Amino acid sequence: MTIDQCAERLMAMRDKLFRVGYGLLRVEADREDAVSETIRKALARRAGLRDEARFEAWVMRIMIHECYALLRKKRREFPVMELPERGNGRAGDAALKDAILELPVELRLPVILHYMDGYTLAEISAMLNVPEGTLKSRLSRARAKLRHELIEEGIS
Amino acid sequence: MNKERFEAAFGKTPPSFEMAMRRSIQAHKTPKRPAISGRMVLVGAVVMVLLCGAAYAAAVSFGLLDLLGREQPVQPSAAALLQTQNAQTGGELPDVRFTLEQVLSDGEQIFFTLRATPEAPDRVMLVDADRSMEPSIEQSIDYWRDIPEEQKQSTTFEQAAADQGKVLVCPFLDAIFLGEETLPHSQPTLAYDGGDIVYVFAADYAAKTDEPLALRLRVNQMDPLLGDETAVSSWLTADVVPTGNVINYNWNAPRDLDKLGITITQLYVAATPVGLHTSVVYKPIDGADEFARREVGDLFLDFVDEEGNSIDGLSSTGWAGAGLMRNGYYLHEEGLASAQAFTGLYLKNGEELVFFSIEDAEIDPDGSAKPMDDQDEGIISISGSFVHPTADVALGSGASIPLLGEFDTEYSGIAREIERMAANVDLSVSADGFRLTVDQIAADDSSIWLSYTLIGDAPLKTQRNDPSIQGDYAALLTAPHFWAAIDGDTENVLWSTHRQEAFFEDAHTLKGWMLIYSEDNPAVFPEKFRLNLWTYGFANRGYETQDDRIDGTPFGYELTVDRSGAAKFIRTARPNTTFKVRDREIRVVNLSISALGGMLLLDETMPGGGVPTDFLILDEQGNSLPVESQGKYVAPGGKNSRHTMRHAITFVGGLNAKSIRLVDPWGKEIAWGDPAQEVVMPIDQALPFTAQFADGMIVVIEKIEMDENGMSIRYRSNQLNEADLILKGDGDESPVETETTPRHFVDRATGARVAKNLWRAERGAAPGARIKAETLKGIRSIGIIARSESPLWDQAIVIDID
Repeated sequence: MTIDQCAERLMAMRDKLFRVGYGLLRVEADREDAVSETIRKALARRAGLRDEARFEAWVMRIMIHECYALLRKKRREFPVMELPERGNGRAGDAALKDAILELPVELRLPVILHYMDGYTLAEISAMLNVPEGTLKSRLSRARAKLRHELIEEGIS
Repeated sequence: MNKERFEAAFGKTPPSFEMAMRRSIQAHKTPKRPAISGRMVLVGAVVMVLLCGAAYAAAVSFGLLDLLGREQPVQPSAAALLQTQNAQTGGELPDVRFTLEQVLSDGEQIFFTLRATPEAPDRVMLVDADRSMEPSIEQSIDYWRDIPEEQKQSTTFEQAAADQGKVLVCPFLDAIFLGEETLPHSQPTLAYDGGDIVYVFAADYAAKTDEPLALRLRVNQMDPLLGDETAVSSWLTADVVPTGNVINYNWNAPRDLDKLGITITQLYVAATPVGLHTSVVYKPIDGADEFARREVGDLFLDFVDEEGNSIDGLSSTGWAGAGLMRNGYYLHEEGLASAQAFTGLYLKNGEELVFFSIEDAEIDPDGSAKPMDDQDEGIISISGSFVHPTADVALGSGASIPLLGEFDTEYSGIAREIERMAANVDLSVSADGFRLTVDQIAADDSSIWLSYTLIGDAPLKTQRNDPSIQGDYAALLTAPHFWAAIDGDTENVLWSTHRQEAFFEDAHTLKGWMLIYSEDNPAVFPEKFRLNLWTYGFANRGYETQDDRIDGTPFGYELTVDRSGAAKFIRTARPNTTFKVRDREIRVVNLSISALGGMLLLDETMPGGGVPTDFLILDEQGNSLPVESQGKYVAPGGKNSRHTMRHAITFVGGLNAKSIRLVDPWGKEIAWGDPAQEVVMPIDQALPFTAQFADGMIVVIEKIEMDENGMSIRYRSNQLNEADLILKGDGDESPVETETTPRHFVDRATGARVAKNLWRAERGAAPGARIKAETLKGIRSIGIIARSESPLWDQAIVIDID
């Protein structure tokens, strides 16, 4: 894969990368840092990707790694940074967004990758190193929690 | 809950995120030349001096003050605060030993250096946890010493360890306690020293006692690939004295800034020999819509001196606690709404700043706090917005556009055509040592073209101040990136600038032009509209603010544009026809062709997760009209849903075309990794030379120019993508190295594609040249590589032009 092809495929993933960043990082600048670092690593290491069909999963794995790395640093700086962002005024479905961001991270990430980004359980399993059975159970728990949260808020 | 609702929950990807991606791609498509910075030379010189003296001790190779002051020097009195040889215990792990080398407390922060040493250097290689995926040590570390060449240049740390039969281990600092308090700390500065890693940490700590306190560090080792902790050390404990030398300034009286919709509740400044720390605590006024509009977390604070110039390093954004917004109004929640802006400034030697109370300031009508007339010393001004100059412009009234550059520029050949549809603007903003003038502007249906001049009081710095960036790239990375909004619509900012050129006139002056349009949500502009133009940064100077904050930067311009006079220079078609390509339904919304270029707006209905279709574009005679950008957005959702997205295809040429033809370039499924097609052309081949590829694809090399500085190759192609042009010597290797990846563009006047590049400077080259003349003789041929395209030439879609 040439560097231009790699760049094009990265840009084509922008929405998916944004959603994963949004789900894991509270601060806009951190999300941009994480995606910048992801791009740098993907461009630099693309030659090491033997199976290009796995490009998206590979990039997403780098992105998740970068988000976790930033979270680790932030935890050292400000423990409250792990609080989900609320009511920031961005267009979208605010109630569902808040409910998703309230989920614990092990439930939040599968929800974003599966329901929002459209990855299959097999793909997510490869990205997160979590067995498919566990993922199914986490998605089921996440759905139940979301339903409960939205009913509590009086939003069907 | 349905799928669509999930997909929409986080809203659209913001332009800033995409910009960050584009910036990163632009930056990293340009290979960084390994370079020894001035600072490293200094470090090296210090080390050499020490090596020659009997007093040299290997324990302190990288001094705390040296690393701390890498951006700006700390004050000399900081040296008196340095603590060394602190008694310590603990810090051993199975594979790593940690040593606290130096400590410095300035009364506001504690800085310390921590050295990680492998217990068995022949078996273990250390790598920092956050650098483990770097391609090589050489590329990732600013400071290093005594690292074997083969290790620095290895493909990855992982590979370097494997080559040397070593295990890769990540040292990792997990927690810091001073006395009984946990210390939050920043990301460390890092140095590689032989097989050791030296970290410099800074942790916030306000001095409360002169008595020694126990500094306790919990250090771990981690699996570099999985990120799991594999061992936790005993606490590393050392006695430190946490005193310092701080001068505090504090104001606690509330101050309402109605225009900003906030109340300043506290302003705190602490000056120490190491740095200057400030924090501003503010909260929104209940129900303040102005503040809400800016979002809670992004109050922009700018610290300026008595002449209104920004104090370098003191611009900041804040971040807020959680809050609630309803219908655009901020609802104050007690205890949750305060926010702090953190800044840091390292004073230069002997420099002193004096601040007055905010109470001494008066509030200007624009919301800025400024000093009372009777104050004659330094001030702090808290400014929330900038007022921009305005102008009315009638396009088509003619403009005088200078020809920029001398050879192979993109727009120079067509500047006279652009002049006819443009207008002079000549609006300037002067701030922070820069003067930025918007010189001319032109517009067609969906694109804005503008030219500008940037003049710096000091020589202009390239972004990131990276000396390895040279030539055209240096100018482009110094240039402002303009954003635009039509009729105040900041939801659909025009930020795509696929085409731009910039040139240094001299070290202080840069001229450039750029084409701006919306890739997000392209639309046809009204005949008359209000146009806001603004830029957040250039020449290594940035204004950190929210993306759509037009007034968050001084460098903004507001124009009222009447483009009716330019209509006669724009050819359009609005066929509103629909056709199908594979599983896509495509509606042609608008086609416009002008001297600025062609733009085709399409609404494409596609499966969820799909990427908009690409097209090759030809005129009715079969001439290729080079495509410059295509919509690359991914439709949200899974494969079971369908979405309609608008996207813009920009192309060059066709000013006299009667119709254009769209051809699907992906007639068959191309697997990633399919072998590329290559035609090798001898370097002495008579030109033009046509390289034929499968499926009717051609690349015609028209002109090659090379000298001791760089190369320029002009070619034509009917491919969607740029051709890869590889220089070859006797084997496959090129005898010359290039500075960057080639800059590709299309000559707007001729439609020829151009690939330009600079050679990487070579030792022994003549003064002014980048390589030796004889090196060029080693180039034997050019490999012309075609991308894997398979156009459906016989299924072209024809769009007639009015």
